[in-house]
Amino acid sequence: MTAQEQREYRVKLFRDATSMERKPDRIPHLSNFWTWQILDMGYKFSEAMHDYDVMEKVMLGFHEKYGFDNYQETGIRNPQRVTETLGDSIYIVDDEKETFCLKDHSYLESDEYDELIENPTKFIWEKVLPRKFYKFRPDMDPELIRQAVRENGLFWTKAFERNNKLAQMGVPGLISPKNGFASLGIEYLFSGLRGIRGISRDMRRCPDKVKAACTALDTISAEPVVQNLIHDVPGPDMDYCFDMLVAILAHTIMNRSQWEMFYWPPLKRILDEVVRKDKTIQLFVEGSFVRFADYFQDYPKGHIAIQVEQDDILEVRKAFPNCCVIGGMSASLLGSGTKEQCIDRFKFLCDELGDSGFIFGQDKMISYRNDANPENVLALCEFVRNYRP
Amino acid sequence: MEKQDDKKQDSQNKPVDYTTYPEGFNALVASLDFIPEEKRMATMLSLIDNLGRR
Repeated sequence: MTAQEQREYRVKLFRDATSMERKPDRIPHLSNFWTWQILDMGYKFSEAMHDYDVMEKVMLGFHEKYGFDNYQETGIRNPQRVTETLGDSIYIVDDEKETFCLKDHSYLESDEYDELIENPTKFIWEKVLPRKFYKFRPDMDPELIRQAVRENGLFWTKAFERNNKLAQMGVPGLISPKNGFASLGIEYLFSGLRGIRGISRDMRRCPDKVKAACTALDTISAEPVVQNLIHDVPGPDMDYCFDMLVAILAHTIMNRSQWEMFYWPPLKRILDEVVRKDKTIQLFVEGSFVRFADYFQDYPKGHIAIQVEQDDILEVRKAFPNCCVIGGMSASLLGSGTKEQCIDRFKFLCDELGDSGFIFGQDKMISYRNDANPENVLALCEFVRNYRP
Repeated sequence: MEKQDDKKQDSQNKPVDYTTYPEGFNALVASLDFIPEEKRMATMLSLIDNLGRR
């Protein structure tokens, strides 16, 4: 096959699986490998994150070695060079221990919600950025911001170049840029501004303010994407595997009434529009999700694909009978099992999950060296490529 | 008259606090002379998105 034919073939695999009615030619295989890619290609975390030539070698080399059908991560999660222009990153990178951790942080005080609600951009500029970046100061040299802008531009230019080169190797884009990645306001508050402890307390102590803050943040984070969706032409973008992506993490600290108040309304708005426009959406979910399954029951098949982490993928299939499921490969088997056990797991899932509605992937974000054995990954990738259930 | 002129002079000479919004923000947007003017605001908002969320 030519690269174009491979891209079209792979898009069709994902689209057929998401349809839940058409049987794909084979099960599509989505990589949920993240920083593990860097180590497997023989580099250190800080090397790949600061040298875009190295990151390109990592991503292209990873595809050449394993040949997944698509990749959740192509080196765009951590813009270290951009953030470090203005000071420290929120990540702690230890190349010797091969760890990559997020600092516990809170850039929004509990008595500052009104300011955030009034004008989120102003709040981020005047309060968040100075707290986060020690070089972001009243008398900073404008050249610092000019440099940050150049680094940001370079970050995205290199990201597109990597994706274009992967495309020349037959890998289509995963998410259509027409609608792209919608980051909900609640997620911005949870992981970007208030932190886990802070938001957990605030949801109980001042729920109305948290709700208003989420709505305000949505105007700058999710709403532009929603407007793109509303004004987009109907139908799928067949150059890509999905039309949209939403990452779902903040639900992990919510009970049902909190989910109902803070999370469901903006998410429902997006899902309703995705269905109305006959498009598809990937929900990248961390933690457990089945307890919210009843919220999704009324959506027709063919639009939603849920990538699961802690839940048993078979339980997810039962709980979400109208949604394609993504995942299923146990990281513990990938790391400590045999090749045969990994392949048997895949075959078992194919038998259980039927002819459509299943995209194979790893059940957690594979990040550290012991998360997976390269021999197992190689054997599994080859088997998946050739298996016709 | 001299006092008013002095005040105006002081205001014009007062350094910009770049961490203020919109004054400092707009001053930095204007400084992006390597970006076409019509794209500077979107460019800066893209930067804030990366800096704020990650």
